[in-house]
Amino acid sequence: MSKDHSLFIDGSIPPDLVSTQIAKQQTDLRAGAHSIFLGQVRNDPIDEKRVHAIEYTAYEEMVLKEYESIKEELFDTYPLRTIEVFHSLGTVPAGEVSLFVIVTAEHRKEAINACRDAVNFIKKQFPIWGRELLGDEGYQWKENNFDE
Amino acid sequence: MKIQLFGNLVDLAGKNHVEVENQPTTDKLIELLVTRFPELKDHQFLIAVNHEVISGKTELHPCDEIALLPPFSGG
Repeated sequence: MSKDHSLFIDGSIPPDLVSTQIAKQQTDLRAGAHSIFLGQVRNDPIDEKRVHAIEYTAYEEMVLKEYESIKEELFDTYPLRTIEVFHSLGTVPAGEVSLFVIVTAEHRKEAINACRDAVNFIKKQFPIWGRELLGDEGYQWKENNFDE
Repeated sequence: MKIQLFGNLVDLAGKNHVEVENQPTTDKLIELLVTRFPELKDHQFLIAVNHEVISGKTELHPCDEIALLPPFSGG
């Protein structure tokens, strides 16, 4: 299991992190499929206002513990090569990426299923909170919808 | 003991942690916190002791790391 990076990224996840992670897998000649999920901040309408950005905070030590636990569970469930998760802390403007999951396996079916499970687990089990900033007009705490 | 707060509970308390006198159980702790912050009754939250979410009445020790966790909204 890879422990060579910090899961947390200060601010938005830079698009070139995705290509760096793909390039990293090129040395693994047994890898045949990567499944990638990118979560992007939407400018949702809230009453008369719009979400300009989301400011994330986390209970970091507990997130890292949950991360180890989901990796263990997914490696037990599916024949995987690697799982990498990155999540933003701090402010991420609408249109930019705050969550990046890449799962690599020999075949597509396990890569896709494990990536879906990882995203669902992250939404439900990672102690991370998003404050939706409404420009100069205040904020509201984000609520996750587990089905969307 | 120090209680860490997150999400909307930081707004409620006006800070990200509160200090209270040592409590023997999570039930006693919540009782005490509700007297200090009555609005806590209207909030949903989980209690984590040493990075594990607990359910039901749990014994506490002075060196435990305790946190109140409102519904998660990562991703």
